[in-house]
This record gives sequence, structure tokens and C-alpha cells, in this order.
Amino acid sequence: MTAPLLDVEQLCKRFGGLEAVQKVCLHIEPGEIVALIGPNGAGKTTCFNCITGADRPTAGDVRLDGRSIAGMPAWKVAQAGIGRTFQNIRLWREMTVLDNVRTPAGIPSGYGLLSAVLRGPRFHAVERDIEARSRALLALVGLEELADARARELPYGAQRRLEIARALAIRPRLLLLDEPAAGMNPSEKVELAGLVRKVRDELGLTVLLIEHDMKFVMGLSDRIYVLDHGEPIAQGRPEDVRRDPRVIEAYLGAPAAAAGEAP
Amino acid sequence: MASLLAAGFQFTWPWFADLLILGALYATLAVGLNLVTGYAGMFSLGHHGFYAVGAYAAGFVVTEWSAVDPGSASGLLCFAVSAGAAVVAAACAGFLVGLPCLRLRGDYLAIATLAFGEIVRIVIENTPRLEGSLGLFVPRVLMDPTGRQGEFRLLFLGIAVVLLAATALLVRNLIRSAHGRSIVSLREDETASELLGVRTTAYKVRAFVLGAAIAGLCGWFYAHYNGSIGPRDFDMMVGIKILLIVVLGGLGSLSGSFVAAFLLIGIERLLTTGVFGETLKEWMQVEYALVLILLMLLRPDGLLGKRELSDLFRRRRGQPTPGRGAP
Repeated sequence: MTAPLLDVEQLCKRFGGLEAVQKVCLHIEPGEIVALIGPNGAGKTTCFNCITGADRPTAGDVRLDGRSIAGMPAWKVAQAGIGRTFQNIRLWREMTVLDNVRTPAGIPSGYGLLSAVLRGPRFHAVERDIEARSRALLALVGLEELADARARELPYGAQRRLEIARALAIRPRLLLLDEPAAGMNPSEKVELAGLVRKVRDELGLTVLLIEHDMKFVMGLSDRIYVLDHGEPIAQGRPEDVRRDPRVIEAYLGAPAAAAGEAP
Repeated sequence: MASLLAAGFQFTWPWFADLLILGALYATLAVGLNLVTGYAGMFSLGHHGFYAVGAYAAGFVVTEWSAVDPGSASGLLCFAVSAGAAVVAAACAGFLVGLPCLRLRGDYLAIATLAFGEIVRIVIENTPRLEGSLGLFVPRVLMDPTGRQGEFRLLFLGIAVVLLAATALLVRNLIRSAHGRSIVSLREDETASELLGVRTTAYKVRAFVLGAAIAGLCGWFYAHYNGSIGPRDFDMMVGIKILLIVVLGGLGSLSGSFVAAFLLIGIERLLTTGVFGETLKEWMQVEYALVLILLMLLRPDGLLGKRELSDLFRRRRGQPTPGRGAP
């Protein structure tokens, strides 16, 4: 067995009196596509925020490749190799599509402020490299034609794909997708699943995603973790999780679970 | 008609030179503030504070310097050293104010910076070494203007133009680089920036310090050009005037700041000459308010929005607008 890429140990997050996340453990192997599911308010996004440094965990540890990243500032976590998208799209709306990707692609910049102002040969070499990488990522998500448009002008599905390209631009090893398929139509969802697999296979990334669309999750994920009221209630392969009575209870309520077991 | 003719003699070289010099000075101040407010998205009402710090740092150096002949080697050295002092003092002030204040956002930052600007003015008024509210006399070190007003103005117009061109080029190059894109991303969505690896605090402080340093350089220029500086030269209305120029030209448009600076200073100078009659002189008080109201009604994004003049010409020729930040 290989060493896990992401190790979340006994993660807890408390907001005042609310236990948003309680003792959540996630172990994700390199190259896996893992889903984190659960009813609304189960603590999935809080988990993401604790992993990426947007929130500081109350207790527990998060390790990336064996190195603890819990409590690190978010920009350090991102540079350590975790890219993410957002539940409510958070593109830099007035910037162009290309610049949305070039900004993280230029971190760390590779030249100093002085070099930026004086435009030395190093500046031009690095900028060419950043632009080439960014355009390749835009091509990967099918947005190369729209590179000069402003991000806010893109249709909804394209904005979601641009967020993925932007997250990929920081050269992550782990990609976190927060409800990537939300608001997409069925054919866009199929394309998105293909894109996630392509990212895993061609860029060698590991993917952790939050998603409510069960068909999408079941078809795409290697493994699934289920949260309810901040606590982990089940994990395993999609077909096992689907049949787990605790999962059915969490989603549909106790009577439905009982009815499901009866026949 | 008679009043027009009578006023006509005022439109001579000194009058135009003053207009151009002040226009370039305010355009430079606006370029610095545009970096802070237009690109980095930090609302600052205290830019005149850094302007004052630079002016008084320069004035302090010149008055400490042993008496020199204007234009001598020692005078030139004093001119240069006072520039260094102004930039360093304003940048340090920017750093000290920036570190705690940049944790604030939006309106709160505006109020904190406004308070800083007022503190600077009040400190100056109560410091005997800086001559308090009387104003500090700054001896001439570059050139003695008596009897050579025309040449003096030409010299300072040249310096003002170089200053404006250099700072505008600096900010433009910075913005169109990896660092600049990180700075602009802060304006758009700071949370997203931080989660995508942008060192948000570091870039905010850098933008703020650089904006302050540019204001300090403007203060240095003003001290040498005007020959005396007083707290009234750096009151709140100056800060508001700079912000108004940035907003009028368009947040995130350098050429917009140029256009707006010359427009606003031009209107102001025209009104003060009395060419439209003495009554309109008093209307200067109304100018800012009127400009703001017209701006909100007609061009809520500023004269140029986020575009540059060059973008407009390109569009006219039917070429696509390049992505902001193209190298």
C-alpha cells in the first residue's frame, strides 16, 4: 500500500456552540478520485476550509504527503500543492479568462518586483512560460477561444471550468472541487466527469470532491466518504455506500431506511 | 466681452505652465493612489498624508543643509538627497500605517487612512521645528527664480513630466506582471486570491507602500517648486481631490487619471482666474460636488472605466482588446 497523499486525522471544527465537523478522518491515496457527500449542513465545505487553511481546525491534524499543514495560512497550503474551486463561483470577475489562470500560474513569480518594473530578459522568459502553461490549461478545459473575454462574461458552465483551470494553475497535487456540477445540465455534467478523469489521468492528480448529484458521484468516484451533522457515518466504494442503511437514513430519514431494508 | 479681454492677458506662459505643472503633479499623485485604490482595491482617503510627509521630509533636509548657491553641485546634491529622504519617509509612513490598517476593509480602511492624514496635518501644525501653521520656507537649491520665472517654470515642468512618465511606467509595468496580477486579484476577490496562493497581506503592504512612496516624491517636488509648504497645502480636501481624480478617470485606468487630473485642475484654474466673472470664482467650492454628481449620473465607472486610452484607439481600428496585463 502506498502512503496516503492526504491524511486528515480526527479533524474537529467548532463555531461557538456548533460542532460543524467532529472527528473526521480522510485518507486519500495518490491518483484516487474521492467524493465527500452528505446532506446540506453536514460540514463538507467546512472540511474543505480546514484542509485548505481558510479555517483553522479546532483539533486534529491535516497532513499532505506526511507534512502537517493544519493551521498554515491558506496561501502556503495552496503553494504546498492543494488547489480548490468554490461552491459559489469566486472568479476574479473583471479580469480576463487568461489572467484568471495566469495569476496563480505566476506564483511564486520567478522574478522580483524590480525585474517586473525594469523588464529584464528573465522577466520575458518567465512570462512566456507562464502564458504558455496558462493557455495549455485553458485548452484542457476547452476555453482557449475565450482567453481574452472577461471572466464575468462567460456562461455559467464555462465559469465552473475556468475555476478548475485556475485551481490547476498552481500545479497542485491534490485538487479539491466544491460542488463542481452544481447548476450544470446533464450533458455538461458528463463533460465535467470526463474532465475530472482527464485531469487525474493526464496530470496525475488526486481529486477530492463535494457533490450532491448522486449519479455524478457514483459514476466518477473510486471511494466515497459520507458525513452527517459533522460526523463521518460511512465510507467505501460507491456501490457499498449506496446500500448503507445509515446513509439512506441520513438522506431520507429513518422510516425510509426501514422501508428500504424490509423487502 | 470686456471682462473676457481683461482676463485674456492672464492666459500667458506662466499661467499655462502652472496649469501643466499642477496637472502633472496631481496626475502623479493619482497614479500612486490608483495603484492602491484602483488596482489593489484598498479605499484610501489619506493619500495627502503621505504627500505631506514627503514634502516635509524634503523641506527638513533642505533647511538642515548648509546654505548653498542655487544650481551649484552642493545644491544638486541637496535636491537629490531630499528626494531620497522624501521617498524613504513616505514609504516608512506607508509601512507603519499599512501594517495595522490593511486588516481593515472598505469603509473602515477609508476612515483609518483619513484619520492618518489628519494626524499628519495636526502633528505638523504643532511642531515648532516645522514652523507649525506658519508654513516652512524651503530655500531654493536648484535654481533661483528671481528674474528668471520663465526658465524656472520650464525646468520644473520638465521635472514634473519626467516624474509623471516614470511613475506611470513603473505602475504600468508592475501591474502587467505576475506581481501585478496578484495585486489586481485582491481587488476582485481577496478570499479566492489567498486560497490560490497569493500572499495577500504582503501584496497589500507592497502596493500601499509603493503608493505612499510615489506621494512622497510628489511632496518633494511640490516643496521645491512652491518654495514653501504649510499644513494647509495638505488638508483633507487635497486627499479628496486626489481620490476624485482617480474615481473620475476610472479605478484601474492610468490614462484615465491623466485625463481627469488635467481636466479637474484645468477647471479649477479657469474658475480662479475669474474669466467667467467674479461670481464663478466662489463656485469653485461646488466643483467637486458637481463633478461627482455628473460622474454618478453619466459615467458611473469613471471616464475611462478600467480601460486605457490605447485600448480605445485599438478598438476603433477593429482589433481585439488585449487582456489586461499582457506583457
